[in-house]
Amino acid sequence: MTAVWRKTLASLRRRRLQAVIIGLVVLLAAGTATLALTLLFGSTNAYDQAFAQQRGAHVLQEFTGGATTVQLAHTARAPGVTAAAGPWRTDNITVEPARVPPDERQMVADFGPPKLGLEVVGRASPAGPADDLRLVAGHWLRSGNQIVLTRSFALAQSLAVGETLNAVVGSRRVPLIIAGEVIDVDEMDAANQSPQHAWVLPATLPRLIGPGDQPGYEMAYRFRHAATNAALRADLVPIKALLPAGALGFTRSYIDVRNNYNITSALVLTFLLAFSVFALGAAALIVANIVTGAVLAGFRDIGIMKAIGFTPGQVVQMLVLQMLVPALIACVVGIPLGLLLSRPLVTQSADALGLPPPAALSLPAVLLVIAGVVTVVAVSAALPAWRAGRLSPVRAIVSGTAPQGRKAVGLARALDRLHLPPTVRLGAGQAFARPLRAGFTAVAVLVGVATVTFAVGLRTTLMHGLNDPAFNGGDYQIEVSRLMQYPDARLMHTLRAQPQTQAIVARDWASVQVNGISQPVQSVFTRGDATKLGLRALQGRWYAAPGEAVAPEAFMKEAHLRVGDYFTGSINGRRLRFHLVGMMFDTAEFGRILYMDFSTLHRAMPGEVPADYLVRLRPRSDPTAYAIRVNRTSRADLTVNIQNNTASSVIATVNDVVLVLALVLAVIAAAAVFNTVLLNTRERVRDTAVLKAVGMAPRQAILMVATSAAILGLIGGILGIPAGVVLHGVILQLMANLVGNTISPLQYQAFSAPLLLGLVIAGMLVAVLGALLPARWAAYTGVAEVLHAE
Amino acid sequence: MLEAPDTTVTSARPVVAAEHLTRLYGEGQAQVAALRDVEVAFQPGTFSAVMGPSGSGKSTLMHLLAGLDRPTSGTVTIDGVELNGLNDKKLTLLRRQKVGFVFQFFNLLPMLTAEENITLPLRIAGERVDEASLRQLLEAVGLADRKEHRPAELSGGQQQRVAIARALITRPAVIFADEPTGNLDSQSSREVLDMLRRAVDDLGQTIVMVTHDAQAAAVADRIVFLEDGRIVRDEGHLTADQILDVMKVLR
Repeated sequence: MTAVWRKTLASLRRRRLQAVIIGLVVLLAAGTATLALTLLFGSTNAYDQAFAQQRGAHVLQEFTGGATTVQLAHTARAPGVTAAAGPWRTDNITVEPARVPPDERQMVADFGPPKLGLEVVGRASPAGPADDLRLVAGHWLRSGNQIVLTRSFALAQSLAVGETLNAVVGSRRVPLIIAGEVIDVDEMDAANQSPQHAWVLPATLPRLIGPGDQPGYEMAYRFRHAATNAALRADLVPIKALLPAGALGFTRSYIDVRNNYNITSALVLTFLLAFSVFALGAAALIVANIVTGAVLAGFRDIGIMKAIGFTPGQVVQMLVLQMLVPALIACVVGIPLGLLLSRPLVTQSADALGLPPPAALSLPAVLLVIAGVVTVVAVSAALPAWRAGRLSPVRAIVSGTAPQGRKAVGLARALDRLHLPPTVRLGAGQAFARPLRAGFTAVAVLVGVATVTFAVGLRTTLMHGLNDPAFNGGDYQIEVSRLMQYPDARLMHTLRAQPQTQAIVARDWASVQVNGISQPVQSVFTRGDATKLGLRALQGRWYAAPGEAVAPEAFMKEAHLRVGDYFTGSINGRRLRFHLVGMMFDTAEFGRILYMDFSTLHRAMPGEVPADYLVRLRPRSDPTAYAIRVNRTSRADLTVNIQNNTASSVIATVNDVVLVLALVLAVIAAAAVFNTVLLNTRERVRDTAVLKAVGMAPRQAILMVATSAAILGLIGGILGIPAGVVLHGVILQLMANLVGNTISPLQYQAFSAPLLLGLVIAGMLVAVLGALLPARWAAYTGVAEVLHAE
Repeated sequence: MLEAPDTTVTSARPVVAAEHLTRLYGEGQAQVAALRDVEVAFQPGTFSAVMGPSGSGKSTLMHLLAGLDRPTSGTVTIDGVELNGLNDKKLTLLRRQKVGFVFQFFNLLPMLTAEENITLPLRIAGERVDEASLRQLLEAVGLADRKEHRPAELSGGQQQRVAIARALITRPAVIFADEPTGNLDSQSSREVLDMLRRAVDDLGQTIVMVTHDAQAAAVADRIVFLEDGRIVRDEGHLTADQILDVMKVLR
């Protein structure tokens, strides 16, 4: 063993406590960084990999019945198209599972079999030049009475290969046996996209078209330029030109699908990356602090080492090693921990895409984390160590203690004038005696307080958002949909007859072709006062007259509209003039949606009746009893759903991750304060002994040390809170933008004055708690022992 | 000048007294006796020096007499109060009122000015600073024009004079000086010793000084010689040469 190693290990044993602090902080930093990087490499790859393997379509385009198959086949040769599949015949159908699971028997007895919507596609083969379907269970279609489902739909509805679905065609039921399950990379998860696609042989499709259905066609395209949604919109222009007006229906972009797959991990990832950078930064500050302190405390040691022949380089080497050893040990624990925690998140996205679970160990992620930790620790240790390396041995041995650079810091001088008790003033002096160290510590507290502030604010805002109908799609308990043959008036009569009914809002969807936008906009038309469900405009007002509309930000941006503007467009080929009277919050279609009154729809489609009905019940009504009563009036034609307001899983995940990470950073901040106070009190052990000799009581000594920490905590807290509030605003805006909306600061008022004051006090308390142990050591160290060392 | 401390008038009893004072360090085989059964007393208004070679127990004796350390056995009495029965807090309060210190390395607090260092004992005790007597004291130690300076801006001699003023400000029953000239050049040493001497002569202050500098000990009224933890000689005033002769025998 070399002398450098021997000395390093000996010093580590002597400074166990510091080694433990470094280890703890690096462990937390390495763990979060591994988690973040594994997720980053894992999840972005997963979708792209699946998309490439299955020749995913950049666009899945629906066409209304106006276009012919010949015309559609021509579009495959439109400029910019590199591959195309289809046209396939499509229709929206309703199916009822034949098998009733035992635990749902009561429900089926009460409500009848559940009715599930599917967009069924007539397709002969799963393979093709675009939008390959990957078979993951069963086999492809072999006969006319078979159907293939997406796996996410089968999972969501607990359906298995071999079971039968009855398609509702008018009053008939057409049985279809589930032949297989596929993964379609051009479709979002069943939780986020309804209806899901399902496939039957082309010859089967006409048998499924019921009275009142509007069958159409679908094609899958791959384009030369497909990097952005704007590029995709441009790609569709030549296709549109080949077809009769109004033939273009709904467009599904792979970018939206990819975003949807990645949105949870994208959000979590943003936080994790930011936090691991914070944590690594905090580790750097603490390491630099400890090394500086070790150099000062071991001044005499270093002088002696140099006197007996250590070169400056060896001194630096030794000090750097002293920090690297605990840091690497922390990596050994932290990295596997991070990998372990990343497992569920990584396998989840791979699983959803039907890919084999990725390797447990992401080598680039691990190497990057180790490289990051080593670099950060080595650099932050080497800089102060270099000073020790150049130290004159004579001076170090003769003086025995480090020279104390004393500059009156402005803040400490200002405190002098406040006529505070001497112990408090002395504490303040201690806090700033080493300005750099004071700065490091205050920054650590700042980061801790800022993230806790942010986390608390985010929780409050998200919870508030979940409870505010304007942000969660309206406050209603019952959703009823009816088959075409069941009259609207009869259902309305039934609903109105229920004494528990407080408000009924009926809805229908239609696409609106807005001038200046190439894609039709999916729009909601409401009959009845939608504001009675708690829906409201965040800006401007809710619509009240025909032609008036409200929309989320994404639509307004795309159409370059502001509240109050007029715009023109068409519904079902009929030109209309619209007035945008308000901005709302809605995440459907990533904010690319319009809300209008039913009277507007009637101008273009006079005979149209609503498709479903939202009912708000009077307070203290029983939604289940209500649903059963309504359903009994016509089990065959009505589907009644009870709305349960459960928090979105994305929000719950984000909330938990943020809270855990905030606590991690709070721990790091406390460790930083502990470390600083420890270094300060060790360095000042003689000053404290003198103070005690001239009459300072132990309690006063504790007060003095605690004050020094409290001041740093106060500064960190006061600066950390605005930082956290700003961060909260920025991140919320970012989250809202991801789903095509905007939130003004007024909407996320999450902080109250008492809360903020509480957080400042909490910052100080964390600092004081971190200081108490070293303070007690300072207070009870024997005076004679210290002075004897002279 | 300042008024004499109360103790000089009130009694002929010693200000500081030690009986059967023993201090052992370590345990078992490794046990070392720093002091063995020392008996010594210091009268009010006297300037005493404690001398002895390195390791003779000088500093240990001083720390025990000042109540900074606790004896293994034996008793210490300061101004009539026996230290053995006192807890940390009471001991602190006693030091506040009755004991002053001057150290070899000055031990001033670097972030405080000269004046703030001097008044520190009063302020820690929560007592009011009497501006008139502070001014008098600053003049007596020749630092009236340096009171706003911080220790780093003062010479070694000036720093030690600040330390002496800090010890005097509470008018303690006794001042312990631990090698007060050990870190000073000869010119500064003379100034510091002169100041201590005047504190005894003019103010009736009691001073116990630990030193191995014969020039310093020659200023004292009495010299106690220690060797291996025992008092081996107890002399009145001696010249520097006489002291060196005694020390030669001890070594």
